[in-house]
Amino acid sequence: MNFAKRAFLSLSRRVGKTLILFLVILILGNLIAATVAMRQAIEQSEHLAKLSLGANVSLGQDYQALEKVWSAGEEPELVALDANIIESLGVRAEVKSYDYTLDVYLSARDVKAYEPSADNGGYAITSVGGGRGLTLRGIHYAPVLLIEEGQLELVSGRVFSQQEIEQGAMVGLISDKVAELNNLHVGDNIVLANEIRDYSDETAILDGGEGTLAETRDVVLEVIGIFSPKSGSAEASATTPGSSDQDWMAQMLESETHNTVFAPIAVAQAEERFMIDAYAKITPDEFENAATYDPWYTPVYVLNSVDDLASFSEAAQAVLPQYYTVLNADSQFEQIAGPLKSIQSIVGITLVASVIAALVIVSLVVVLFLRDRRKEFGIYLSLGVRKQAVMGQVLIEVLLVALVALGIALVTGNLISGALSQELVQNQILAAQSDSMGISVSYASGAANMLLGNLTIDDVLANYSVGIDVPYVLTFLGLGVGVSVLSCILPLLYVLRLKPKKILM
Amino acid sequence: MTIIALENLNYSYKDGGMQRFILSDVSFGFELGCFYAILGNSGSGKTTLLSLMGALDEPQSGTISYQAEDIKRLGYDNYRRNHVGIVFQSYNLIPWLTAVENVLVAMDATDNKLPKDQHAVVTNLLTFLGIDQGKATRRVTELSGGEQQRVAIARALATNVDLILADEPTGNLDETSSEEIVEIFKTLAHEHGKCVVVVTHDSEIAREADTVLRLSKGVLGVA
Repeated sequence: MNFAKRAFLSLSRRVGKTLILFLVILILGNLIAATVAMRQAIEQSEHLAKLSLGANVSLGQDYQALEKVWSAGEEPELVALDANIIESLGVRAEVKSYDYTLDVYLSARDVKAYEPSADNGGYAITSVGGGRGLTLRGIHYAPVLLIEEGQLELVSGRVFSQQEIEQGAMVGLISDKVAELNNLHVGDNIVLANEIRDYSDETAILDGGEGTLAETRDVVLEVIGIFSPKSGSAEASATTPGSSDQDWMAQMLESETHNTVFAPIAVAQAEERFMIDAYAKITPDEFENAATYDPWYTPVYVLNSVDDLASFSEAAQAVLPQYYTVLNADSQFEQIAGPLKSIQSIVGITLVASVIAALVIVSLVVVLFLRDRRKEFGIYLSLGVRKQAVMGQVLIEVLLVALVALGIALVTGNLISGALSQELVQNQILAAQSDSMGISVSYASGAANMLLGNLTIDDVLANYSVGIDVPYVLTFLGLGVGVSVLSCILPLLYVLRLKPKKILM
Repeated sequence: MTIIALENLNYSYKDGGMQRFILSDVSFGFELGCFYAILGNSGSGKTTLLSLMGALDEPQSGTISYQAEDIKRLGYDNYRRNHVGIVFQSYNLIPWLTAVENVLVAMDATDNKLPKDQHAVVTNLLTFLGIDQGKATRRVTELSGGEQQRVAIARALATNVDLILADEPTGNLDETSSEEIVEIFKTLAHEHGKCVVVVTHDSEIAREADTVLRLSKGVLGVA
């Protein structure tokens, strides 16, 4: 009868003690399994969320840093981003493509702007002055980054040629909704109005709030293409009615997307220049630096992969002016799903504590059981049974019980984790969101907003799923078997020190 | 033929600061085919002597040779595994195993060449020692003291060794069982050519032995 068979017989014939060891490992196993499952689920949720956000980066103002300055009663000196900095980062190896845009808000005097339907749970979005406007978005990248990256779909016509971009040709892309509202087609002209209003007269503001029209000029663009937001982008997410701030944000984004007219950047620069010069005439005190006014560009970089985020961010941060930061999926994830990190940290500590507790408790239980079997081991040794065989028997006994207990804990621990953690994670995120209300966070604007994705609490929670997968099984069984084997070291040392004469005679 | 020889064995231990000598220059040769009884008062060192001969303990000086080879050189574990069978007063059987399984433990440990059908060998051995097949498959805790001692003897014999050491083997048995066990030892020595050494203070056993030795004040001599 070899030691393996003895181990099996020992377990099957000493049922009481086997059961106690089994229950101890099962309980501790459940604790470890639950924490491992939760850890895996959080990592998975983070991974999926980041994947869905993609490897896109923008550069924008760091509102958290600004908040500190403002709260100290100081006025930070903000500067526009230099195009040279934007372009120098754009040629880095991590960058697949990039663009920088300039938005100018124009009046839709002769055209109808798109309004989200109130019947569809939409919010009424009214522009300054009570009327509706369109955003003229000057772009630098001829293929249009949002179309190339699949946020927008070109449903008719074409994108810009490089020549049109370089020469500032009066051509543009409009949305299908604006085209439909105004019966515009490719080849038609869209006429926007760059209206400069004078608000210096208080009565003019009070009378309808539109001020008086000081200067105006038409911006006539030939429609060369018509785009539509793709499903899953701003429009699609906005069609689900809801009451949260995120729904409102989605509606805003939808409206902004449809009411955007893409044009070469020189067109937007010219219109902005016209505005600055006009306002400098109306309120020269406020625009004393009008001649040297720099455009406030919004840069967007599409990186080759998510793995490039860290190195690009480091390089960008080194050249950015004060109060600027890198806005990317990571920063958005941290803002929205930051509480997951704190849960992950707690779960990590719990996991380490449970492993240590399991090591100590299982070791003590095994030692206590072996003390009861002192005479049995003395008999083996008096018969000349090798100590390795005696130790092998102990190891097999513990491992057999552990494997059954861990096998059950693998499933039950997962179920316990699934039942408890889903709500915990949800409450934690919602509580953190509630706590952070009113605190400024850094969001990208314009084109960057669409490209950086729109992560919601629902996205994070939808990605949070406790399940049994290969990494979970391997991690848990590795830990469980490891703890069981390590728990035998102390008891095995005890066996090694046994002297048969002292036990038997 | 001398199977085991003791030469100048010394053994002592500290007892309350005093060195207590148990064995002093003990020398003796034990022959195959003989049944020996070692007598002595309680505390005289009988059990210590037997534990040294069974390699359960180590002498402070002197040598024990098995077939002219020092058992220290043979290796104590190896010696216990392959050359000696020990029978204890309290049987020392594994309680959750059956009689057959207890014997099989020793057979698994030994390196000696044994018949392939070990189960049949054990059953025959137990039958020879008076344990029928029904009892052979019961857990040893369900057997009487005499039956358990028979199982212990079977375990000592199962590895096909020539030297059987027994420490007070009848100490826990009634008179009838004691007589039967003594008969078994005599048979093993006289018919199977084993060397049987029994440590006892039972003079009845001594009467049946071929050679009676007395251990007194650390000195071993023929009575």
